Amino acid sequence: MFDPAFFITILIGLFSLINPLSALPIYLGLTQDESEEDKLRTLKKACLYVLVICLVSYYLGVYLLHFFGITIPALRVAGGLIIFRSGWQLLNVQHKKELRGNIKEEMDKKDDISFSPLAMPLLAGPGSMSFLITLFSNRSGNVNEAFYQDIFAITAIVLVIFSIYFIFKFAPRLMRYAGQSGLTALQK
Amino acid sequence: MGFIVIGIGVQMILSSLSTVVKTMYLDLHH
Repeated sequence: MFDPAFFITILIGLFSLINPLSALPIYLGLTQDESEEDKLRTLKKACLYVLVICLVSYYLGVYLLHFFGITIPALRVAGGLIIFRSGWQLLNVQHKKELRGNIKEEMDKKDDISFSPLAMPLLAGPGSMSFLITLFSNRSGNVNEAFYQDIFAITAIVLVIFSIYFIFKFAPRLMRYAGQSGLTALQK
Repeated sequence: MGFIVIGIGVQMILSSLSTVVKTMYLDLHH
């Protein structure tokens, strides 16, 4: 029951929502004074946090919302608006700079950036969380199909996290080839 | 990438709105 189109939809959707390329300049800026070992440790920790956040919002998000009495259609409208907003920001550069300013301020006060701001609002933000919650709520009632969907979702999450790891690890080299403007173009 | 993200957002809003409208229509007529 392998449906490649469905898997690719999840993968591309999650990758665009997490968008490692948009967090890359901030990661590079914040870790520029750190040694290679510290950078790698921060990166590994951030990847682990993103994995935990994604899995928790995929499996427990629906129950958490149910606890607060929030219905799935309400979440989809709210999540849709947030995702729409982040997509809009991605296409309009001016807003992004304000965001970056705020994050930089927050960064100056902190030593460890792996959870906040790197893992939490930059990589696994509200958009990817509501996407995963909606995905779980759309799960088929058929146990067999639901099992396949879970496997697809987890594989997609793991693949996106691997892409974060490799993109961030080879970021300085990528930056050298593409430059800041090339990176901005890639982000779009 | 921005277009994909906007597409996902709009699709989420539309699909939930269509479900809500359908439910309301069925409630009214049955």
